[in-house]
Amino acid sequence: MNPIDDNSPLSRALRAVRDEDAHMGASPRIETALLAEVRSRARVTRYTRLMTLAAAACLTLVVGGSIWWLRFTNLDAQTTTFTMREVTTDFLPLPYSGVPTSTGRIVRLEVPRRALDSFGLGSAGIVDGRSSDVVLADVLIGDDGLARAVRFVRSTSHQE
Amino acid sequence: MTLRLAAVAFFALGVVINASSPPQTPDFLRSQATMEPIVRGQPFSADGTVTLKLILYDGTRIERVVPARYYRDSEGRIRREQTVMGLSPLDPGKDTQAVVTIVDPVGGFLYTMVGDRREAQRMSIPPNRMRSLQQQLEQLQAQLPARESVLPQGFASKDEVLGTRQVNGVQAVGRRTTTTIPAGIVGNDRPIEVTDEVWTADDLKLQVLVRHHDPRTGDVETQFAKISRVEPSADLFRIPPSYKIVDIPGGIR
Repeated sequence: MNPIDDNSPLSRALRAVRDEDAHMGASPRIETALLAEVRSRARVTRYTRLMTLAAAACLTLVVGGSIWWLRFTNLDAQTTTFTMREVTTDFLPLPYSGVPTSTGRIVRLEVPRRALDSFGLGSAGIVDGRSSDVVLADVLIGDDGLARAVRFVRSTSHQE
Repeated sequence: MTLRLAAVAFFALGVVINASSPPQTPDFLRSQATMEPIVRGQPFSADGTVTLKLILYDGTRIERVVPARYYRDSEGRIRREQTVMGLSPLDPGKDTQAVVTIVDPVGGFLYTMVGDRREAQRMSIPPNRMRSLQQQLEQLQAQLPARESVLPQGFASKDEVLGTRQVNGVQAVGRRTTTTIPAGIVGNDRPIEVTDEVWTADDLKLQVLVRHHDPRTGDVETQFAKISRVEPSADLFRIPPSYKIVDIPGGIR
């Protein structure tokens, strides 16, 4: 048995009230206020989302830029760390140093280490303390191809 | 004349310095990989020969003739294929070494290829160093005292103009400088004369014939022949692609 009888006096009274209030609504003032409130909340939500996206973009830029800068400065440091420098002796005369020449060029050669002895540099070890059998020599030659002078070279890494 | 005077003065200065102190080199020479004059608009190629003659005390005659090849293009690039001599103090078993040098004032580099090694040494030539030899020597000359005062005491020197004549097919102007070492300076019982004769083709700005005579060290003659004014192939001034380029740190400082 249905606890509420549709034909009961109470049911009929409630239906009558419903039908009577069917055409009733909120007043225009309340409707306007409600719409304004709803739109306001929607704007706040969009603004919040926009700010979140902007913050994320800024964060990405900051982090990415920092990584790039760190890499750039590290590469630069490596370049300067391994810059090669050279230490050379003065030019020392060779047998044809007395033959005049109007032009000259330097040619770098590898020569036997014992060449240092010929110029009194071997035993002192002032040119190169390494054990290689050859040393570098810059030979100054004239336009005639005759060697005029020589200087010995030691390459060394230099930290800047 | 200016070039010759300056060159002689420079070497005379070098002799004086070397005689009185540990070996030194004027700064302009110490720091430069090339003093090559830059001549644009006068291309040519030529065969070169260097002849060394020396008579030893016991009568032994020494004569060496070494060929070379020389190219210059319109941009002033120079390629030399030559044999470097006088290296025995560095390696008694090897007095000579085949060397190719390319001076490229356009690219700003001096390349050197030694022997059969498939690599090219590269030295940078800063633009402000790309001055002509004339300018460099004129500056040097201006810095030096008068020539007579840099010659050792008692030495005498005179210059002669030998006129103009054809040398190996080109018009050349000759000049001779004679330096006299008086008797007794180096234990000599009579004066020693050292002569330098230079024949220069002014239009090519090339010394086509150079003779150096010194009784103490022998004669050296350098000359160019078969001179052609045809533009040389551009490939001659490029490093072969298969060659490794090795930068000489610092280059010309």
